[in-house]
Amino acid sequence: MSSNKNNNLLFPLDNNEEDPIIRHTQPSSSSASSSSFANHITFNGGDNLHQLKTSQILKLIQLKYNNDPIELIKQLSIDVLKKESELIVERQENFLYQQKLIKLCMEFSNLSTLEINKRINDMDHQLSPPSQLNQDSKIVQSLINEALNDKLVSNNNNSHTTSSTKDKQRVSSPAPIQLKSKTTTIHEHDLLPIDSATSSNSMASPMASIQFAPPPSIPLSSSIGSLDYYKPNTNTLMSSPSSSTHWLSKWFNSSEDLSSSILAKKSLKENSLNDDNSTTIVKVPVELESMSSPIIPELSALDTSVSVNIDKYGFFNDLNNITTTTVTATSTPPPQSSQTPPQTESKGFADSLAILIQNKIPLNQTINQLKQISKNHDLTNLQIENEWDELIRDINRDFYKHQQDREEKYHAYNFKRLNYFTTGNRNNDNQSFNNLEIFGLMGLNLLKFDDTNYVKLINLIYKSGILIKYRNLLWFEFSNGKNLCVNGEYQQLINKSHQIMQKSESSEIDDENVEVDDVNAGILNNINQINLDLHRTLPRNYYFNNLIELKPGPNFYKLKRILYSFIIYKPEIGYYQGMNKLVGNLLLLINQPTITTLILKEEDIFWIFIGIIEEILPKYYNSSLKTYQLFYQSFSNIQLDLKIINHVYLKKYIPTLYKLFSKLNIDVEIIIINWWLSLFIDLNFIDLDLWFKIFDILLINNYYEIVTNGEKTIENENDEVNADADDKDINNNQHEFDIPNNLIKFFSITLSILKVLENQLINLDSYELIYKFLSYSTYDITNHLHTDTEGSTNTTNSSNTSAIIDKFKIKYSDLIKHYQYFNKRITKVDILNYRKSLK
Amino acid sequence: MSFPNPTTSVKLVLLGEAAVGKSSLVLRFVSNEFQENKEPTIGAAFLTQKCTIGSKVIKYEIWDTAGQERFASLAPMYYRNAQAAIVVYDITKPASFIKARHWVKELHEQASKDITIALVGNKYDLVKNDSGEEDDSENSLRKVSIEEGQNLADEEGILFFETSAKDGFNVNEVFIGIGNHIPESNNNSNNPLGGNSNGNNEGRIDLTSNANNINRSGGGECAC
Repeated sequence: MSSNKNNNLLFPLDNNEEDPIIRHTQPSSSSASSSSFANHITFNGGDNLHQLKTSQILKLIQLKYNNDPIELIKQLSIDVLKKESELIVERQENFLYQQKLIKLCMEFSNLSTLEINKRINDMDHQLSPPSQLNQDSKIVQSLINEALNDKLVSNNNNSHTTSSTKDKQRVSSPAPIQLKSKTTTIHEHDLLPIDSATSSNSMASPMASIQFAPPPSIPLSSSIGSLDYYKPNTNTLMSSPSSSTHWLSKWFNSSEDLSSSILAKKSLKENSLNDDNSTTIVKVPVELESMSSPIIPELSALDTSVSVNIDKYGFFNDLNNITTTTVTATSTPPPQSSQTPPQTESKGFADSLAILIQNKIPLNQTINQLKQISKNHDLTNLQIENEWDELIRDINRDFYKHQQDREEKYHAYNFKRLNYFTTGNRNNDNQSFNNLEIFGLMGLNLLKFDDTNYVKLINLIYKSGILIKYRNLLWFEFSNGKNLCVNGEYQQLINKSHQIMQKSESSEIDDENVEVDDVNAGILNNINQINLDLHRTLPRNYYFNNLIELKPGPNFYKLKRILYSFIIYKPEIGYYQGMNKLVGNLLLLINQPTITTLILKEEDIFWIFIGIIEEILPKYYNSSLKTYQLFYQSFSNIQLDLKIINHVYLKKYIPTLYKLFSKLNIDVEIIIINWWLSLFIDLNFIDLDLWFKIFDILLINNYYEIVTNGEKTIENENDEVNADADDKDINNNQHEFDIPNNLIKFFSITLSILKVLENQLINLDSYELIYKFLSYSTYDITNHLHTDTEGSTNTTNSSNTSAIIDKFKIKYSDLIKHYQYFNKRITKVDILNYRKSLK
Repeated sequence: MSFPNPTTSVKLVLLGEAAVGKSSLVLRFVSNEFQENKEPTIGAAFLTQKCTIGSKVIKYEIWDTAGQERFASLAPMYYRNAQAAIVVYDITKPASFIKARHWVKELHEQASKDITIALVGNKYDLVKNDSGEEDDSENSLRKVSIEEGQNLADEEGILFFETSAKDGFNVNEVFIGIGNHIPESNNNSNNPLGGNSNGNNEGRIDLTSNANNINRSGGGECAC
């Protein structure tokens, strides 16, 4: 705020958007002042005469002023003067506030919303106690130095439960006003490392030590997390992952943190060797763990702390400590969290780490090299972040720049429409109508003025996927959820579902004799199925299943409401298993760190879901019902298309795999239908990061494809758009072989996955292993891959399991390379022809 | 690539209503684990496990299918050429028993003639009391009696087990039983008892009326 005082811009306010702020603030300040007047008045000589009855006034005058009018008038005029002077002061203050506001508005009116958000964020940071931060950073710095000198001592006997950390948190955070959440987060993180790193002396009085607790642990994770602009993992449960810690990482040299963390672990390892009973609270940062686990798998075994690690999506990492699973084998925690940064450097990073550590290069050298690696890693990611920031800024700029233009056209459009309805004047204005359709705020409008931003956008998505902090915003746009959204409708749907539930509960004494109409019966049937699946959706995620307190997480209820609403919104589709996972993953967007962009609400997720169901997933034409059906409802059509994938495209583009599959008698169609039905969720070789990126591709509007994909003619695309628009007047012959929207994308993604996995599959070279690996699997496949390879091939020990996992995870850069290749070569015409020939 | 000599591969498919514990049963058999809140299966999952029965080793190639009614039309893909099938129901859910009856019928009609079928009533742990014996009281959660299950199995000429995937009770026995049964399957393949699906006690009549409900609401999609 203080910076604004220097800004002396004093232009008349003409920005409508900012006006409400002033209107809003003015009355509130004036009302405040009037109330203060009221107080004054009651204590003044005038005694609020106007409020009294005439008789009372007379009495007062008689008593106080002896019926002397001069005395009375004197007193009154003094009162009035006083009040006036007070008013003047108030007005001056008001004026000053106004000036400030105007300045602010002026300043902000030149900025995009994103930039404004950024400003506000910056101010937040300024408001946070800087002295403390500096102090902390110094301590951290010294700790890092200590770590570099390999002087770390781990404490031995302190066993830490989550509750103990909680206690400490309560003691340690004096909770500064307003910044409470942020500072407490810091403190929590502060707490973690002391125990592990420095303070063997802190054991006696942990509370005392906390005040001086240095915070290296969180930068450890944040340093790596920040490479991808993800917010650092919140390592403890108590800290809400959404509270921003990104700013913390700014003043840490991430490479140093990284090296220190590795050192910390090393020393810990040694320590734990000495003392098996030592429970250490060192939280292995999730990213680091996943990156380094192929080489130092002992780390995960090391991590025996009772407290719980949660990754950035809220998945529990060391599940064995909490869950009631009765595990017999040496099962590793699921690799849900393995981190694929936008530019997939982590692989190289991990590899080089492996080399470094395996070769036992002197420590200093190792550290230097690590620093270099993480620096490079940082740089590439920062570069991508910058590109994204710039692009979004450009898009916003353009949008606001053309706002006036657009508004004029919009008015003209309205006028024409009015004309159209009143006069029935049906000339060729439809064209211009279409051009003026207002799509999402930032997206398609711009295309009318300038294509370059869209080319950039597509290229950037192909390069890195959507940056996590913009995904909320862009998915809301791309899924068309923003346009589908009708205010209040979601609430109505929820209410309706409540009513139906109540009705059914009251009438449903026992299951057998329920008299409900068909629609409601269908809905109830769906609700029963949903109820069966709610607890089974992302059960390892903190937001869905709070394993610490053994209760459902917040997203559990959101999922329930969204699915209930959906079956009422679209009873003709109803609930399909798999939707729960889709919505579950979408709900994870809510918990994602968005630094500057909009935060999605439950309702928004519902509309994104609707958008995906309605417009993104392929729809097949059902000739008997004469309508389009969701692909869930068109198994036979899918099966036909899978034949095409198998016998045409796989044969043509990946002949080695085609031969392998026929040699081993593998029915690849049976596998791919699983991929499609589960929408690529939970496949062994696709982690959550990649899944989000695959959907980034699916969500890109078709129009964008044309811009980048010169080979596809715009006419074709228009035909398709028209065909979609005219759902109502359906011409049988024309639609029977219609190619659903986005089907080519499904084709391309499927083929590119197979292409990326080609070498792995050829190496597996076994009917059984390939099925296991490729088929959708609800549990961790690697155990079984592992046990199977053990006997037949070279010796693999359990530490290699994570290496196997990582080996099979697909990298986005690989996928997208092949995707673009296939997407260019698969055409609708071809598919149509193949379909006809297959029939 | 073929398997070592003494091993015979058996393709086995699991069928049954949603959330009766098909995946849990397989998970218990394959890796002796149990997971609370097992995520629902979509499409089907593929697993294998070797099982030594006497002198022979059987390698089960298991297709664990999705339970939701709406995916039922995919099932033929998985039970095609299967040598064995496990039809699972939940002994605390009568509707799941009805569904099991349908699956057995469908398998007899559509699957290969010599398929070995086992009917499995799962979640036995829910009807046990603290002392580990079956809770006979009024409060028992059991809704499908062991006799009903046995009767159906006898009618259809198939194997019958009650299991608990949660505590592992009787799970391996299912697979051993199937393994034992497979070589003799030729004798039993044309068992004439199938087809008599009309219930003969009162409990079943109630249940079938419920099944009509299910059919009415779910019938729209399974046409394909």
